[in-house]
Amino acid sequence: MQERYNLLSTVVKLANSATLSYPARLKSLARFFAESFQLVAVTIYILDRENRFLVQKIPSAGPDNFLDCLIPLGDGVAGRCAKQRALLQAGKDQLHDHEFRDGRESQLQAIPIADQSRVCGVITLGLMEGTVCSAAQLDLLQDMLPAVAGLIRDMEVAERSSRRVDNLTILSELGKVLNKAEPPRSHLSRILQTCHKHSAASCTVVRLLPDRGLPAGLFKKCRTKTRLQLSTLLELEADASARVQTTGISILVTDLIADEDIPPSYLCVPLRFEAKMLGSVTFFGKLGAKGRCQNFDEEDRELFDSMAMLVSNALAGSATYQQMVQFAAENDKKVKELSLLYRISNTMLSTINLNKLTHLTLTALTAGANPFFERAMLFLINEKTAVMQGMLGVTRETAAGKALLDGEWGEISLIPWDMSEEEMARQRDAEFSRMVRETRLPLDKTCNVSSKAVLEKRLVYVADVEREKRVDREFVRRFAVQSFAAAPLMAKQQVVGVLVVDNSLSGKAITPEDLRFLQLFTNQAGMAIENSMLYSRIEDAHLDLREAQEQIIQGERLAAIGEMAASIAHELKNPLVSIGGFAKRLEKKIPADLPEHKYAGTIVREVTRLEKMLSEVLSFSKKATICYMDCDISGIIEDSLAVVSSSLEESGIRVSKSIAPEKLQIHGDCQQLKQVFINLFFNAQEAMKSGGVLQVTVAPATLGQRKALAVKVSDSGGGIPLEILNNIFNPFFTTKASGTGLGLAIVHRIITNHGGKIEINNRPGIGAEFTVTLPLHP
Amino acid sequence: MAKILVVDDESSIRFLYSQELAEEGHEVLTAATALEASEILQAQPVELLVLDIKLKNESGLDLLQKLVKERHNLPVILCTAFSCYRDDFSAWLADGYVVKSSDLQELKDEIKRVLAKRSR
Ligand SMILES: Nc1ncnc2c1ncn2[C@@H]1O[C@H](COP(=O)(O)OP(=O)(O)OP(=O)(O)O)[C@@H](O)[C@H]1O
Ligand SMILES: [Mg+2]
Repeated sequence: MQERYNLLSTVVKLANSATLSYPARLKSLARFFAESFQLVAVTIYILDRENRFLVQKIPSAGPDNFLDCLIPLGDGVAGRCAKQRALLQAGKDQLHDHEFRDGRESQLQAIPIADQSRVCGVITLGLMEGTVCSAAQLDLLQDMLPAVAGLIRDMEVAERSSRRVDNLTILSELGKVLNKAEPPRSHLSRILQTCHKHSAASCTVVRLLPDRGLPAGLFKKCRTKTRLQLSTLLELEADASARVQTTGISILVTDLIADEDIPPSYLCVPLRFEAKMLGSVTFFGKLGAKGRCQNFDEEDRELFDSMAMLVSNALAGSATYQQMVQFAAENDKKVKELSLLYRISNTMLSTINLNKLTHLTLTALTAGANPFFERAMLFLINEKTAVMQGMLGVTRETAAGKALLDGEWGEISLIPWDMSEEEMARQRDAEFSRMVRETRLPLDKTCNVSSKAVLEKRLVYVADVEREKRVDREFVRRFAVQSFAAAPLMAKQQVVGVLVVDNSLSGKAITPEDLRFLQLFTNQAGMAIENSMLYSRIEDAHLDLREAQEQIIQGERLAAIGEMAASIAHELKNPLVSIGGFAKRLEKKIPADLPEHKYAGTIVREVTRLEKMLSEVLSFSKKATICYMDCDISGIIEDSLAVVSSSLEESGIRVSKSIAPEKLQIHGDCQQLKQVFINLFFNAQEAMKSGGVLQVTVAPATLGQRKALAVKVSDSGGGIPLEILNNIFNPFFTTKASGTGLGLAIVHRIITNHGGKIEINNRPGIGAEFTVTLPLHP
Repeated sequence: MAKILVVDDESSIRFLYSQELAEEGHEVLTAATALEASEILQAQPVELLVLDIKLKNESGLDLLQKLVKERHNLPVILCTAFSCYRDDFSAWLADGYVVKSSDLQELKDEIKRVLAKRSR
């Protein structure tokens, strides 16, 4: 016993040693198993997430890192074991090429490593000629496997979090590349390069559609290996791109099979700006370890979708730049201002604070010696109440100090254009901004023409408010408006706000160039807002990441708690025995009519309950070894029914048995199996407090390839509420006032130790049916 | 009835057992350590040993093994906090085995059974 405890605690320690890397921990566990059980070699194999291949192995004698392998489920010894989810013994001649060989082994024993219901790996033991692994040894080893399974799970969680960090890094790096102001062509090649590098794709194809103000055509980057298949890949790309452009939704293809040696998977994502399709990006790959190609997954899809969004915005931005350059050439006088404004737009694109963005937007419209407009106001849309709510207003005065257009072009463009918290506060607190905040306009075209900016998603210009009937009179009066323009702010194809600008202080007319500029500018601002939304999504991902890390810590904490629970249970047992024992004596000695008699009785009952709980805690954290013998299943059922018979009678429950005529013998631990059925019967009885039918049937069955038997225990107690169905096997989960919540946890533990399984057929409102399937020979 | 030696390192348990077993008509001696137990066994004849498996700083199982070597006809009932000790091979040397509980009935029955077996 002591030895067993020492072994278990060493395993827990090794599995949780924070100073070692995950593979190093698995390696030391494998080595520890090999030494403790005098085995030639112990190898741990890890199953991929898709349950298709054993993809990594770590032999007890190898280095402290994983060795790659690719063993299909069902192949070799470990692969077969993983597929059958059962113990397996095989000769060394049956090993797969990728399986580890020590050379001295003649036989191998393989054991699946199960994490809850999922098999996450396999452990194989190399046995020398003439040696065997005793049932007791196997059993002990299986007891330790949950620690290995837990370790593998932690490793997967850690992998997932580090992948998420990688993804965030990729997005922020892409963001940096995108925010460089460059002519579209060189910009494009840089974008392609960044996408290609970070996607781990073996070939990346960007397709840009004509007439979008962008250099149209196909832009591709391939690794040498895939260049030979390029024509096939381009055919696939054309097809996928066409589909993506019509649906607007990315496509993920996996497990592609073809005559040629092409990558097995590709992902095609749309590039679009607002409702306009710009093109698509298709990634083929992905390159895994050792140049092998593997499937993209949903996480990749999410990453690429985000990448595509950033790229689309940047491309649209550079298209706008093109337009601006053209426009400026025609309007020579403003060329300097426009180029400068492009810089401002870029600053805005990299500003992720939404609040600052709105200030920058309004300031850019009104700042400088020769501002575009004299006043700018921002309204946000509230669709529910159908109003446009004023948020912020900036005038030439409050924008002053942010002079953008003074000084020489080269000089200013180098200074990052930014705004401090104080400057923003000053703008917010100004009288004009306060008035804007107090303004609410109805979202209704008939009485407020600027609603059209929202409802029709277009620029609205009112040259003279006196001649336009559909303007809000109160608005005109309050701000002394003569003529104004309203432009929609779009993000994610939705109007999120309206910019209203005017020159009413001086009465200067708004020119068509001003309007065209306003249009371009609000496009930029919308993109910036969209970016900022994207970043807040990234922040959410950061939160997820923190949660994942907490999960790991939680897992380690649980292992420690398990150990502690066992030692506390030991400490508590003796005092409980004497408290209860003396209380019993008191109960005996005190005359029954005195109240003290009742007090003693209460202590006795409570202590008995605690004792029951303690022994269950312990039997849960340390399972007693299975004592194998031939058991007669009908005998076991009869014995278990006898234990609960008085409770069944009390509740008025009828028992209906149907046991197959042939004598069904099973190799297992009768005592433990009895425990299984007693627990199930008690649960049934507790569910049918006011009567019902308990039905028990035993019939031959199969489990995988093996002969098995199935015992169905069903009741008419109304079934299990769906919201708790996922929890009922968890230790300590109970809905009963006096339950310990260990009943089903123990049932599950015993059945898995016997190589069997338990299933529930829950019929809410009617009853629950538990089916226990046990192999005749585990 | 019989002269019984209870070996347990917890005084409250020794107290409880001696009270309860005396009430059954036995003569009860107690020892807190293996050494004390050996001394008592040297000094006077004892008919039955009730032994806790876990003594402070020493194992009841070691004492059991020693005793079995020295006086192979002394019946021993092992008491343990939890049933998992049943797996230990040296526990098989004992004549009886009970899991400690505030309900002493199991222990009393076991004493009766072991004594009856001996007297045959
Ligand atoms: N046959 C059943 N019908 C309805 N609910 C059930 C049935 N069996 C189990 N449950 C639900 O699952 C929960 C967990 O069961 P489990 O046997 O693990 O613990 P328990 O019965 O609450 O406590 P204990 O077994 O220690 O008395 C129960 O509290 C109950 O809500
Ligand atoms: Mg129960």
